[in-house]
Amino acid sequence: MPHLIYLAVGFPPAVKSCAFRMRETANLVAEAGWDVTAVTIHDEGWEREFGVDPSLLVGVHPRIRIVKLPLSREDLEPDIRTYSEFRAQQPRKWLTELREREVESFPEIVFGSWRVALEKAVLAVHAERPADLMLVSPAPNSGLASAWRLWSEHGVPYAVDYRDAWSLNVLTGEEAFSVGSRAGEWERRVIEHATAVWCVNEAIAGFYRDRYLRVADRIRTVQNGFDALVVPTQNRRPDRERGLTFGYVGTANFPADMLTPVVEGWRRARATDALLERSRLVFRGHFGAGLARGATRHVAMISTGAVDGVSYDGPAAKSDLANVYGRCDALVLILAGGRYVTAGKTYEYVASGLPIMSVHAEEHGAAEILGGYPLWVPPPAPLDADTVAESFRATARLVVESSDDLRARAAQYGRSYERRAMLGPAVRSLTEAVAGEATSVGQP
Amino acid sequence: MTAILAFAVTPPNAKGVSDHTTELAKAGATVRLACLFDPADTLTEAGLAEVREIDIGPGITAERPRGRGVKRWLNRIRRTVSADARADPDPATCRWQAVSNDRWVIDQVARSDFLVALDSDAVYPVWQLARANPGIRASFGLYAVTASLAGRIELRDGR
Repeated sequence: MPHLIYLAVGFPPAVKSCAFRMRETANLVAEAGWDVTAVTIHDEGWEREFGVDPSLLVGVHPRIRIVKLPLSREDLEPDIRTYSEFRAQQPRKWLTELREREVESFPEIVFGSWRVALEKAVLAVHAERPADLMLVSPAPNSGLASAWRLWSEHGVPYAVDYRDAWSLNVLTGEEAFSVGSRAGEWERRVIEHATAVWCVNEAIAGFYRDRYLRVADRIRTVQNGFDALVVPTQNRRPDRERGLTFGYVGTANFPADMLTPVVEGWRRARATDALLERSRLVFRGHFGAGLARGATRHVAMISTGAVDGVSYDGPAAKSDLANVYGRCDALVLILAGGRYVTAGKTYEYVASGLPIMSVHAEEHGAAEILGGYPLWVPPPAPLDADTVAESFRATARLVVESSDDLRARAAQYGRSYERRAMLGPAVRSLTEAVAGEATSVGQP
Repeated sequence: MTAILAFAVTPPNAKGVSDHTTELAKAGATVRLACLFDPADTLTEAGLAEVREIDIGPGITAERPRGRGVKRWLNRIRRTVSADARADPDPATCRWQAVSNDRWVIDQVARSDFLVALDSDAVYPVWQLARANPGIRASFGLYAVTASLAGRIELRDGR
């Protein structure tokens, strides 16, 4: 039986948005008849970020073995007794020096220092049970060094699943580092010898194809999709008398300043619309990681709208998401970045079949998905309190006026983005190519 | 009953604190706060059992000011710190001195199971107090106490 080593830092039970893509990828490989070893970090490491959710392990294929490494982010260490006096007394200087140390063995801040431990772990797994293929899913990008080492020392082919991008800043659309830099050298040699490189949207894939022309044919788009678990079994009927519930569901990975026009726009919309005056705007999800859980600027800004029916109701467990979506009449999609960002929550939103109001840049990766969605209110431009207020009013109209037929078409469109359908062809292509013939690109 | 003594140099978000105090109350814990700023009424909804303002010195804020006020602030600190610390004065030492001279803090530390820094500038007094009190656990952030009480992470004592 062929064996995949899957370097997947963020694999369940980590509460990370990438956990679902990782679980489904591993499951699809296992269902194809492979043994899979998923390598991630220990639960205590995740407690420093968004925590762990054991329910995420439900549905992990029994042929998947999970190896947890005792790695954690040093900057998020909560035990003050472990701090040096220098760290306690001069935290900012200490952090600056830590960041310098982190890039010594690999050019990536925060995770560069994990390179050696990740390499050792991957080589140990291979020694115990030789691998036929390695799949590495950055971040951390320092994991790329493990794939490179396994290939160069043992000839094991590898593929890269870029959930984000490394040499591209997806938020600004600018190059993150040059081809000739230390990081650029690393990325070039890893990509040029990879069996396949996956990107989450066509814009990122296009960036990589342009950057690495020689291997452009191996770079493909593998979209995220949504998990069937999150789809509400029944959407509620809007109640004009009680008012509507607008929901934001997901991790807050947009700048807190984006909430200013949202909260103010909501206030203005309520002042001019009787239905909205009775309505609520509810935020659910992880707002702040680790030490800052629930104590971010986002939460502070949301609380300024409390008198206008705006609230932050805390995170929602994945297993409860269907209920959370089911309690909403419309969804507010707030996203940072532009054409290189799609965001996993976009797929969940369309799968819900609910009206969606966008708050993001006009030219945005999410628009590629939302453009065909019949219950979409496109992002206002310019993005300010007045235009957002108009979007709230338009969305409220969409909620109460859309026909059953339109809602059914929306749900049908959204469900075409189911995660298995997105990942299946890429996994099949990869496993068949490798199982059929030990594929390596070039010689180690 | 688990007693938690938290320290803050920068005003924390009351909603964020209250989420943690609510969770900790369910685990049978109470949270007291020693703050190096005027709490006014910003923390009334944070679910704290008690709030104590620690005076750092006449006219001195615990938080380093931005811009032109820095020089005057440092001079005031130099006048406040002890002769030992004056040779190499720094804001962290100044804050630690203010905390260590406060009778209420000394009493509360003796009754506490956990010391918590709510921001990075509050770490040094907590680090010093933890060193002097080996039986008490010390963490950055209230979430770590919740996780520790639930057995999800380990916070060591100093014994």
